[in-house]
Amino acid sequence: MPEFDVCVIGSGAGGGPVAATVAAAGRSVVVIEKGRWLRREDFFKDELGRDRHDSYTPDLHLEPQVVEDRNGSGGWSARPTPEAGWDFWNGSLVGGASNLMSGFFHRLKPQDFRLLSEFGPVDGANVADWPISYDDLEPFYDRVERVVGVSGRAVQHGLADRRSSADFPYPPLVEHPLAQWFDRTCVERGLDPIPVPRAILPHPVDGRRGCEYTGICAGYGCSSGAKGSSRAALLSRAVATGNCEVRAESMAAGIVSDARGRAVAVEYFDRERRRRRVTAKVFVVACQAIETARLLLMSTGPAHPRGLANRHGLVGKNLLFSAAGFGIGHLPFEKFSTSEVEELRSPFPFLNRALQDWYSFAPENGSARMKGGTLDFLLLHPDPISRAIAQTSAKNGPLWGWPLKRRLVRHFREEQHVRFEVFADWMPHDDCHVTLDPDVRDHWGLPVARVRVGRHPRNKRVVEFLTERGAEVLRAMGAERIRTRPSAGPSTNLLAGTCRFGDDPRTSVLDRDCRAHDVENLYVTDGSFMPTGGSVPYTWTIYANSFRVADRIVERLD
Amino acid sequence: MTTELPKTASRGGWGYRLSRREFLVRIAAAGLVAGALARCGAARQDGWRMAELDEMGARLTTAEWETIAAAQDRLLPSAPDSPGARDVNAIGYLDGAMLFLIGSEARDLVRRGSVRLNELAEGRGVTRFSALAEATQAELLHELHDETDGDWTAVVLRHTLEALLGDPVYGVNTGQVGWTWLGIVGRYPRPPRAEQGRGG
Repeated sequence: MPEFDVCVIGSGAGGGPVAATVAAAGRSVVVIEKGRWLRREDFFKDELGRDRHDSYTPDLHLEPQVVEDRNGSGGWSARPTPEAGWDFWNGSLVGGASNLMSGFFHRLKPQDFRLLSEFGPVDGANVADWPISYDDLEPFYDRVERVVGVSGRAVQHGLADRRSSADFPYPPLVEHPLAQWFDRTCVERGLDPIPVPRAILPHPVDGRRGCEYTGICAGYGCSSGAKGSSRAALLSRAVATGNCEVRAESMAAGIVSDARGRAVAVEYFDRERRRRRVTAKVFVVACQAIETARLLLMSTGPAHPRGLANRHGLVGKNLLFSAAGFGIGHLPFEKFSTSEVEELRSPFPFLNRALQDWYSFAPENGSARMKGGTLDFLLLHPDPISRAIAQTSAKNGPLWGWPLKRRLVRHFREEQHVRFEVFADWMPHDDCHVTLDPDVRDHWGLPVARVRVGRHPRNKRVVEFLTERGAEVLRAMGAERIRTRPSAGPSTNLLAGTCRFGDDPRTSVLDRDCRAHDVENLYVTDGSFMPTGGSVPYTWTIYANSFRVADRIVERLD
Repeated sequence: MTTELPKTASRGGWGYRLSRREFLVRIAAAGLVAGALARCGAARQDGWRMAELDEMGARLTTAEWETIAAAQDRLLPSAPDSPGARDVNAIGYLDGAMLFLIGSEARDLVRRGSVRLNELAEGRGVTRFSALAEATQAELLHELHDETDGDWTAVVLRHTLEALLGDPVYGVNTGQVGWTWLGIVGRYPRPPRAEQGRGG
């Protein structure tokens, strides 16, 4: 007899909804999580202690991955992450990367579910329609708003979401006065400024405090509990039912399957590094796209010699990032009136505005309409050290001494800054995937993920277009010294794909309920299921889809 | 089911490394020692902490301390109305970072830069970089910068700015002078004091 009804591996946005839903339905669930279980009181606004995600991610020497990137001669070169200078870890702690997100929440648009049908094939890209539609997912977006806690204001605009509820359950956060400047600028230019929903509570709810407006969200755990992490919003409730057990500091080493191909147990290393096993009726994998693929590929069995759910060799294929670009503009106080400067100096940290006017666009060269993306506008992250270090950069070499001090004063005391981030589809293609590295192992002795990060040229083209549009808006707001950086590289904090869902087992790993075609009692509920990523951050969609699948799992248990 | 993991599987030690915060807590401790050393010249101190740190062979020597502290004064000079490196324990922080934060490559770079600054000083008729006039020190820093492709100044300047704007619990940004100067507010909850050693 299995010990639990459900075993969930990974406790982030993909795992939390399943744990919470199953536990609330009176079924037993165990969550296996590699990271530590930090509580609200363990989180500080400590830039030195955090240094980006360093406090919350593994030592790359103990847990490397291997990055495979294009070399100068047209081939591929592989380097372990300690040498590569970058990696794909986003949060190894209970609640996963959802603890560290900014919480800019956007729903996918209906066209994101039909990218192939809407825009046609793209040369060299494996674009596919989803097997479900926006309407299938909409009730679960709505559930996330209520259960996880999304604050915002529904407004009408050209791409306004079809909603089953009239407005958000929580009112928007207090905005910086620049939001009004932004709105005026956009309306004058015929654009539709959109208030950005945030997975942040504006007031206390169910033991979580309301936002404290430090603005120190991205990369930090939330000490008030206002941010809708899987830990704060879901796992704490799941554990409170008495039906959910979280086993932190437990590294999944493999899913054991029987001769018929069904999953029967998870083997993991506990915090004392002892190898343990837990059994369940149903297994759910949600370790983020790369590690999910790695775990399945490691989990060979008598009926799965190439890895679990990998009969057609599709696990790990079509890894998705988000095509990204950035821009920043400066608003020097000397350019503005006294009352305007007073507004610019407002301590409220949230601008919370986006533009989706170019979610699809017709290029000026007359080629066919193509998928575009989202521009999120925000104030600079408040972290002073990283901001100060950025000020040392100058055209003629680094700045130091008195010129640096002068620039620091200007940056911190005499101007405001607006930046934007671009989110666009990362084209799935054959040279962006996850395999097991044949040589490198982690400190548990497990083979590590080898990640090929090939870029499709469409990514850059779209990002460059959107970045130019963002710069135009900054200029129209009166910003100076505008700098943009359209990026061709992968955004390592937004991961999806590797186990795409679909109706055909020959072209997809999972069915439309995110159950493995090949393994009757195995589900994947992180972003791995996505055949295409859409042009927004993924977290809301991962939460929503996980709730959708959780309902299916509860139905089957009943 | 329980199975012991074979120890040969380990690559670099068991479990997670010390967290960054734990490193910083140690830096704060090292900074205290460094401060005491500075106050009493080259006098050595007894006790487990010094013995442990010396064994690692990573701490700044007195000559390095003097040279790099002088360089930091040029990188972030002090003024009556604005703090500089010397006001925020930048050299103590770098000394601690040499032990716990930066890799051996960067450590060697810092050391070599210190030696080189004193070599360049000899060309100006003195044996110690710290004895030169400020303007000459600045010139030599530019020379070193060019020789090292900017790497030396990048490492030292980064740590100087971390000392300026880091949380005072780590023995830097003394009395929050860096935050006060630049109007940084709202960084709460602050990390606990080093000896409490809590959390992530």
